[in-house]
Amino acid sequence: MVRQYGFHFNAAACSGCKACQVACKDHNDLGGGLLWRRVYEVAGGGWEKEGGLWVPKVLAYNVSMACNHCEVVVCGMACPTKAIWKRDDGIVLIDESRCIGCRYCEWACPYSAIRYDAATNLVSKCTFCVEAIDAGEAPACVTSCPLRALDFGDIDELRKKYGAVDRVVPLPDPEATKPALVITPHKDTAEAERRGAEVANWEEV
Amino acid sequence: MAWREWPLVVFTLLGQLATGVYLFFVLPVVFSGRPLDTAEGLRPLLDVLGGVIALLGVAAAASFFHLGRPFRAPNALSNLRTSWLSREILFELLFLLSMAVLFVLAWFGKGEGAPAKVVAVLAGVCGLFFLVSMARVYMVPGVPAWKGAATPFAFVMATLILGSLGTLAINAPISGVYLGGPGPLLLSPSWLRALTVIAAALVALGVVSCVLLASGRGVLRPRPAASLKPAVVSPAPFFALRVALLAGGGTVLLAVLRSEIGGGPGTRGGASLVWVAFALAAVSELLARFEFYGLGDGRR
Repeated sequence: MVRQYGFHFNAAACSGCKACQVACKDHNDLGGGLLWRRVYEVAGGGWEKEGGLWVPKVLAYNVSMACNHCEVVVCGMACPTKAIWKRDDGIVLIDESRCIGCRYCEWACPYSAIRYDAATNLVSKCTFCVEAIDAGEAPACVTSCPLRALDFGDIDELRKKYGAVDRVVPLPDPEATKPALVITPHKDTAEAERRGAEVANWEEV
Repeated sequence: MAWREWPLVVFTLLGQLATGVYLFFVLPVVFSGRPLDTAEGLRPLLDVLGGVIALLGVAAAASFFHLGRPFRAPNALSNLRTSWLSREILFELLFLLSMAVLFVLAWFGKGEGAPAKVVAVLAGVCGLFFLVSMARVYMVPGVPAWKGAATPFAFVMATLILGSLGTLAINAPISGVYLGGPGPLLLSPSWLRALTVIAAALVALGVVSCVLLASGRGVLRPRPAASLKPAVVSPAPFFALRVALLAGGGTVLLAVLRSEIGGGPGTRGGASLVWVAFALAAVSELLARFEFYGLGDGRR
């Protein structure tokens, strides 16, 4: 019995092809402008003087992010209608029949996972492809990744397998929500922190 | 700017104005010991209390325009255990209800009795909880600019500034003149004079705190926390305009105080100037509130 489903993301392997983003959109038939999984392009650095020479010291990597089905469900705590609930296996879902479209959950989520659907006037988010999970299959984003940079499973097992890192730039402090997420950091992660790297594709995500 | 959040701007500002005027005007009148059983004494109280109820009603009505599914609005009271939004709505309704009861008691000449005083205090407590809930709604991990003390500070300041200036402004036409002139003053001149000083001090504090701490613009603003929403900073001219308007309101209020102290009490010009100060501060708070919602607008 899975206690808490979670995702593993390997930032060192991700090429930023956005196949996960597109597979999610296709599988869940999401309308224009609606993304449940997004790939953030992180970039930073610049020219630095080494001795008498100016050399480029730049960095870039990608972070694929969806709902992290957090252990502390801050979106559900903010929701005034109890429309956001957590299954026994940790997957967080939205009951659309209760949602009033107030969008406070969207403000509450630090991972920007909850998205307003202008077509329905309701909020929506990653469901962990719950029907696939119940059928013993994998989420669409995980199966679509050509570099196997995404994995899923019980978060305790994922932590044993991949470690306990759950934050890299530009992700927020995980303390508030305890995300069911494990990250294999990119080699430039420490530099990204030091050089104040930023998301370079806000228009896309 | 988050222009599309106008329903929330109207809801929060009118809610705060209503709470402020209730605390600075209605409560002192109920506890003033002045006769409220004559038409002359009662009418202004009923007018102001009715106005506060109407303001809160308009605020509530505006909030429906924020909802994607307004007909499901009653669902919003379902999560009182953890949702500050549910609590905010509950306390707004209780505030409205208790003020309505007070209105009815006063209407039937019972405004001076113990039951009216109890209801008046209950309404004030509900108003304060409404204000606290309103601020807590926005203190969420998803918007670092809102999460800290800046949000309750801004909401309390708006309540106090709009409430004190609104009370002074309302009092001006009731008395016919500002401070000390003839007429059925409901609030004592000493309380109004004190309130004028309080309002001026609050406006000064508001201006200084904006310049020092405003998110994205303040001189001593904290470094924004990491976030998956892009940091939003209001345009510099917009920020400058709203600070200048507030400072302008404070300056006008100082002129009123100066004339009161130096030239003796009670001029019609003084009453007009109080309205000018209220209008300048209200427009400043309106712009500040659009700016506030703009901070949370990244990727919405």
